Order: sequence, then structure tokens, then C-alpha cells
Amino acid sequence: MSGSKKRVVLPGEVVGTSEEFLPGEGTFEEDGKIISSKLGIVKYNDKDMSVSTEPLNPIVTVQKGDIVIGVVTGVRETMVIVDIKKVEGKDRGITGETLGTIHVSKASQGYTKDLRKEFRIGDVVRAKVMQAKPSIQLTTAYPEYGVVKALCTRCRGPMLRKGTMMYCPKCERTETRKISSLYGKMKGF
Amino acid sequence: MGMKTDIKLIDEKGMRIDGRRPDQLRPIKIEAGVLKRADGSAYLEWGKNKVLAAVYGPREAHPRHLQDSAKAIVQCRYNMAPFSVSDRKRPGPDRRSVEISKIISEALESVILTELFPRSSIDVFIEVLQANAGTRCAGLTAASVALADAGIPMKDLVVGCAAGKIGDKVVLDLGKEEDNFGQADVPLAIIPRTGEIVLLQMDGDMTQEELFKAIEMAKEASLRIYELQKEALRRRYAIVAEEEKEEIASMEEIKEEEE
Repeated sequence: MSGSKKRVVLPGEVVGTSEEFLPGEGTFEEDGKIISSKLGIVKYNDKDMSVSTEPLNPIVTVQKGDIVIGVVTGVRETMVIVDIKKVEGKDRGITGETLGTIHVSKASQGYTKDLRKEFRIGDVVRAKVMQAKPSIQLTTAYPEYGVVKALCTRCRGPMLRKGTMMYCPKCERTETRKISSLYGKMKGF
Repeated sequence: MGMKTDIKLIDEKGMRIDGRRPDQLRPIKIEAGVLKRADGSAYLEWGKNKVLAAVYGPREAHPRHLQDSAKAIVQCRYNMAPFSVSDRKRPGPDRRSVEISKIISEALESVILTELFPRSSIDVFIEVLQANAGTRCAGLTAASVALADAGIPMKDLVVGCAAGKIGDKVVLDLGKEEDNFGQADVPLAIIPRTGEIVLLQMDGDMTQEELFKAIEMAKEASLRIYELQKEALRRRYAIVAEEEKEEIASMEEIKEEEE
């Protein structure tokens, strides 16, 4: 049964029996049969004798190592809360937990004293996932991570990058941020 | 239902108004993955019925008080387009569409492995573009294909089909005239693998024997429709596989050109 040929299975299709295999990802056991729960390609794993279905249209969840785009919803001295909107490279919306946090120690490559000087509510942030379980921990300690779009705290207009500072052309206010090297260069902003 | 008319729904040869035999379905056409922006979608034509179904999720359930910490909720919206019937239908939810939404979401919930996605919502949208009797079964059939297309874990697909009673005879899959002037309409949905009934309604009345016969007929027909659903999903991913092949081929061409 463990051929390398690609076989597409549909939900409800029998992929093996309990005597042969253990039910893996995308399958479940019923009446001694192992049944696929997803539309996908069957994978027989000889190592642990399990069958799984690799979905053709997988559900997107935030995973360790992903690069994510999110909006800042809360800022404290030592912690920023980000509502993750998209996983980079994935078209589909996120299933499950979407709230991530950035700790001061993981905000930039150098020492950060106060995160309130680096992030503001409403900023769009690009970050990397360091930990997905039990809670999502993000890091922006690389040049390409950080704020990719910021709004002026006085007039809420979009801000421009001016050296290492943010500048509002409307009300001439300057602010500080942990700016990503991709500031203003991302598609769709 | 039950209107007194002199319309003959079954002729001397036992044929129906549209020339079908008593146990004959209307022609069905299913296509999966027709909408780009939805997570999963399906388009279905069932005789003169035309139905679009789209699925989103599992995603965070809104408003928050609807969330269930143990499982995902299945939210369904059955909607008829204003131009779906001969007299313009006033747009928006009404008593009928709210009821249909509820029974369809309950039927779908019985197969979806909701416990895998706590606090989430799986949203199903069913748009009836053209109606000609039997849209709840058509909608449910399309929605289940869309769910599978969205990669949502399910125990099996769900299939709906109606049976009814016209001219004192039990027949399969009522058409518009048969629904309007017939004696009973019994929409039914099953889980094909187990034969479990997940939706059963009856408009009009029939005897116990007739009802059992109607259920048998609809069940048998559902299995035929199930094959069409599976075929549609297979066809969808045969196309995807081909597109990927083409993409790889064109990428290789570019590489060669660069060299």
C-alpha cells in the first residue's frame, strides 16, 4: 500500500485500516478504518506506520519561523501587542491565535529602554515568529523587521522616513520608531 | 402546495411535466473552486437552479460572545438573489431564508470536525442565483463541495436531495410546477458513508409508507449526486496539478534563457 504514487483523497475516503497504520494528520479512525478528513494527497509514513493526508488547500496558522505582518494594538514599556493579520507568502487568512507580543529584549539588535519610543498603536509591523506555542512571541531584531507603516500620533496622517526618524509632512511632527528597512517599500501600502 | 388545479402532473405513460421518469433527477453540474478570493467555493447547476457557495475560515468568530471555547461554530447564510425568481424577491433575509440557513448550518456541522478549531467560526455563504424548486438541497450540496475545497476537515461530504408526492405518486426531485401544485415535498440530506440523515423536512402530507418510500428514493439519488461531488473535487485538483506543471515548465524555460 505504501507506494510513492500520488493519490488524491476526499473527505470520507478510507485510506487504510487500524491494523495497518496509525491515524496521522488529516485522518481519523472509525470502526477499525482510517478515514481521510481532508481533500489532499495520502502520505504513508513507514517510520511510525502512520497515514496522513497532506491538504491541497492548507489552513494557515502562525508557526515558528514565519514572517508575519500585523497591526500594533497595545504598547507598554516592556511589551508590544500585535494583532497578526497575514503570514507572508500566504493568501489565506489566519486560523486560531492571532495576538502576538514583542518583548523589549527582542525589539532591536541593540538595547531598547522603552518600547513606547519604538512602536505606537496603529503601526503596521513586519516581524518574525520566535515561538508559536503556548503564546506567539515575535522579534523585530533584524534590519528588515520593524515598523513598515506608521501614522502620526497628532494628525493620524501617514509618516515618512527621515534618516532614523519618522516625519509627518502634514503637521511637521517628528517621532521615533524601530523602522524596518522595508519602510514604505512594501506592496499595498 | 395543495392548490387545487386541473394541471396533470403525471401523464398516462407515467411521465412527468418536464418529461422525466418518476425516479429521474434533473441534470446536475458541479464545479469546485470557482471564486478566487474565497477560501473554498463551488458552483452548482441543478436543472434550472443555479447556486454559488463560498466558504471562509476557520477564522476568529465575531462577535466574541458567539465563540465556543470547545469547538468552532458553523455560520451559514442562505440568500436568494432578487432576480432568482420570476417575481422580484425583496432582498435580505426573511423567515424562509433564516430557517434554511439554520438547517443547512446544522447539517454541515454534523460532518465538520469542529472540535479542532475552538473559538473559531466557519462561514458558509450560499447565493441562489436562479431558483426552480429544491434550492435548499442544491445549496447544501454546493456548500459541502466548497467546504472540502477549503480544506476543512470533515467526516464526509453531505448530499441533499428531495422527493415528493404528486398526482398520488411518490417521485424524486420535484420541479417548480410539481412543488407548487403537488401534494408533498420532502427535502432530505444524508452522510453518504453512513447513510445517516442530517436534514429532513416535509411540506404537505403523505402516509407513513409513502414517506419511507420517498426517503428511500432520495437516499438512493443522493448517492448518485455524491459521485458528482467527488468528481467535481477531483477535476478541480487535476487542473491545479496541471497548472503547477506548466508553471515549473515555464520557470525552467526562464532559467535556460538566463543561461
